[in-house]
Amino acid sequence: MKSTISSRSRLKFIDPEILSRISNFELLARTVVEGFVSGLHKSPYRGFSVEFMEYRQYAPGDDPKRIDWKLYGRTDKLFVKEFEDETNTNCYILLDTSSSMDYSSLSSGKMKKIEYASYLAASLAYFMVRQRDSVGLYLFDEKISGLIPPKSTTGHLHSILSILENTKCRSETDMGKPFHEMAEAIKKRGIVIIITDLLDDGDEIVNGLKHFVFNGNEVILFHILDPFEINFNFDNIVELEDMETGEKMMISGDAAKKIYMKNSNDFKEKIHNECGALGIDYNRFVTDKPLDFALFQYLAARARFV
Amino acid sequence: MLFINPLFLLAVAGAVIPVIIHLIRNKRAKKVKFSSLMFLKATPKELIKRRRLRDLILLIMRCLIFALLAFAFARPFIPKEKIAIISGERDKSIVLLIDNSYSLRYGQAFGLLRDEALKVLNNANPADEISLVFFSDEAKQATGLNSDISVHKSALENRFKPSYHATEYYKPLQLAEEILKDAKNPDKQIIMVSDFQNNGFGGSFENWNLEPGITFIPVKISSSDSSSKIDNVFIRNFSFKQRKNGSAASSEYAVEAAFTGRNDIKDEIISLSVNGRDEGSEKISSGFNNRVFFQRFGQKEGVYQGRIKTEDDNLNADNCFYFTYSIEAPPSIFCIDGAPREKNSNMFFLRSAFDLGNESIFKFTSGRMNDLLGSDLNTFDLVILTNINSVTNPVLNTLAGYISRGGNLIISFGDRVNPVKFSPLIEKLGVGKFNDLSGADRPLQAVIVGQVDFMHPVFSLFAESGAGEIFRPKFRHYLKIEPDSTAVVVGRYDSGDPFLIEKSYGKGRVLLFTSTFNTAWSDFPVHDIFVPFLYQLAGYAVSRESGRSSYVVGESVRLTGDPGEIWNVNGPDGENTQITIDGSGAGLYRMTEIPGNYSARSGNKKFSFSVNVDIKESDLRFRNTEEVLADVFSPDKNVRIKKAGVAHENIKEDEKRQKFWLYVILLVIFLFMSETYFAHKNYSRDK
Repeated sequence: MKSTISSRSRLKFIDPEILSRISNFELLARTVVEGFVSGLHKSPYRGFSVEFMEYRQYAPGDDPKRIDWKLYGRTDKLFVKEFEDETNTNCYILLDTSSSMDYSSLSSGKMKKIEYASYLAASLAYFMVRQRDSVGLYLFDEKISGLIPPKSTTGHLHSILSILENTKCRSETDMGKPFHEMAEAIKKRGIVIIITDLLDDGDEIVNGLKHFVFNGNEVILFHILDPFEINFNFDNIVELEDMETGEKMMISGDAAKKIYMKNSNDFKEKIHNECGALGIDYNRFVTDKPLDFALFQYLAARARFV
Repeated sequence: MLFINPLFLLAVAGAVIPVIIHLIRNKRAKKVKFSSLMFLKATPKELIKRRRLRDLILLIMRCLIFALLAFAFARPFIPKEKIAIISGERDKSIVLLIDNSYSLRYGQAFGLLRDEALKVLNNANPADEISLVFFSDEAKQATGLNSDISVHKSALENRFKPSYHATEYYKPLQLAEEILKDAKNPDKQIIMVSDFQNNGFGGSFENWNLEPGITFIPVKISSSDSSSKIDNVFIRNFSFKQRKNGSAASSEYAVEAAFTGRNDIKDEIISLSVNGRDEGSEKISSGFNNRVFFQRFGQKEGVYQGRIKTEDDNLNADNCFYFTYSIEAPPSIFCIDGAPREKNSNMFFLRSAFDLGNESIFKFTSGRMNDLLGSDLNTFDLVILTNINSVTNPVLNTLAGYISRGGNLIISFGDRVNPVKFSPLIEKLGVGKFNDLSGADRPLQAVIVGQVDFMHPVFSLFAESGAGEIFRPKFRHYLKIEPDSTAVVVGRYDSGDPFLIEKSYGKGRVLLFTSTFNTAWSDFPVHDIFVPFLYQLAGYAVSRESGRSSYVVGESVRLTGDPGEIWNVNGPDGENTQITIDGSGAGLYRMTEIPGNYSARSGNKKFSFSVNVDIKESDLRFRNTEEVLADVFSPDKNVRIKKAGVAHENIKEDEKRQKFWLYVILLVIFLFMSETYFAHKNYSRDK
């Protein structure tokens, strides 16, 4: 399902630059989600779970209905029940942490792609937990650099948010291998949300995506771009340095723009078409645009999955 | 190539600076980190090179625009000498008159004048023929008419030096006219480079104008015109008075200084030196205090030469005045009058003139004819016989011997003279003989002096100041003398008969005055000129010319002596020159180019004199070129007039004619349009 501008315009979006001023990730994620939720026409999905899984200590903000009063009578301590909802969805957030994600141009208010992606991942995770879905986080560059299996507890969410807050970009991009590894690691099918700048070999990317799809997962692809990666407005002769490989290249701004635009558009077109063929939801996000629309995509995918 | 406004060329350097900065900036391409280069193929190097070349061409065009604009504003032109052939200018014959009078020693004037003269030479066309004339109060052709500029430049460099002469403009113009008569080119020019000092324009211009067909170009090198003066201090007047007291004399020097330009000068130091010794100084100021006196006492007999000097200023040539005077035992005169006791005798008038007590410059002694035999005539410098009746043979012989040994005799007549008995004297001495032996009692028609030789020392003093006075006295009687062929008639009456005859006899001389020294035969003694005449006569007779130890630079000094005698003359610069006396008993020393004290010696004879600059040149007032042109040209004659400053005027005319600036501006406009077109085209291509 493609995102459309018209549906986004009906909602109130939060400027990423404003979000970047919120230092606390949890607060940031909550801001996005609650802002999104408050504008929704449909009621949010509620999970229904029957199977008790574990007790945990009550934390402010937990639903008071879930407090086990019997246990309180016995212990004078407040505990809530955690249930595993058989119909709750497992969500897997795959975040690209390669060096290219560390790029930002001035036009985006200095927000790096990784920051934007992190806000996006945090907002999704928060929303997912709020929906009683389990959320797991995978960090990858040329390999899997971090892994948190999916859970739906608040404590688990805090862990995810903490990791997202401290994410550092490094290394080069090589999506093929980590995609296959992650596809194999996901035992229980669910929604796979990939947040990346897709700066890798197109065929490798597609092959990796196919693996997720063939394993029965619903895949949403968020392609993160900086405005300069779209406009490529270099005026004169400049020397560009690849942030992943360190390779340097002297280009003439005017002449190179045409080449870049053609190649990048061709690539995006190719990925888009492949995603369409695979039933993958391909979404392009520019770092100067509000990110809460991603939550829509999550809900739509959940609806299809469920 | 030359420029009217060369300072604008500095703007060319300014146009390069931003270009240099631009080039430096362009060398360092901006370095930017980018997410990935996977969508970029390397821009072909050829594309970068092409782009850089394109940028360079545009840069050059922009530089040229700035540079050419500055070039146009500098107003370039090619000097006439380079394009004379192309432009078809007529060849010229030029006489270049260059002033070297001493007024040009003021400050840097001489250097400026030389530079202007050099400019004229440099501006000449290759086929122009030029002649150089150096002038002051005389004009000398330095180089003949020819086209070899190197010859003229060499003369200008090596032979053109400032002189101590005054200025006179008529002579060089006349000489220039004369030179141009041999000119081969139709276009004739006289270029005069001078400060055009006012005093150089004398009365000669009143009846003269430059010939038609000659272009006169005055080149003035002084910034002053006739209405302003330049500061200068010089000695305007110097006089010397001697008082005798026995053998000692006191000398009084009166000095008058002139101050031109400023009139607020105070306490200018005037110093006196005599015979090389500093005799002190006085202070002098402009206005009423511009005279000082020096007095020196106890000067013994001898020749004194000295100098009066003011403080140094911008024109030092006129700061010194040199003088020569002598203190000698006065010449002794032995006067014999045939009738000394007569009323208004010759003796009376002669004694009145010569015997002035302490003031006398002659020692006057009277005697009788018998005294001639008894006295040692050799102790007398001069014997005067007046109104003598007759001369005996012993007296005749005595006198002849005295004169031949170097003594001097003046003879005058009177009523007592017996021509028959007196004749042997004048015949023996070779003066002449009486035309009429009938005596003086036959009245003659009154005559006046009709002709004198003003070159003769007796009359030279009267040449200018008293020239008319000698012709006033009326002579009722005189004795007609037919002069000997070897005698010299120095003056004649208007009747043609001799008035004064001179004859050298041995080492001495005889001067015969054919009338009387009293009023018996003429009214000569009552005229003002009588006493000066007597002094000149006596002074000449004793070989002591009065008043002629001072000369002006350029004047010739007359030396006298026996034919073949050699005088050695030493100048103030140490130069020694030998002058040989010719058959007329005179020789001219002409090397008075430098002011100072000179001395001449011939055997035991000595003669000292001083040479000074002509102070009319010290009055530094000048004429502007319009006034000069008015002097040179008559308004009713068909002459061509050019403004002064030929070098500068030619430059402006050359530039106006060539109009290089216009073509340069058109080129700038073309470049500007081209640059705009190409820059826009490149921009569109990049887009």
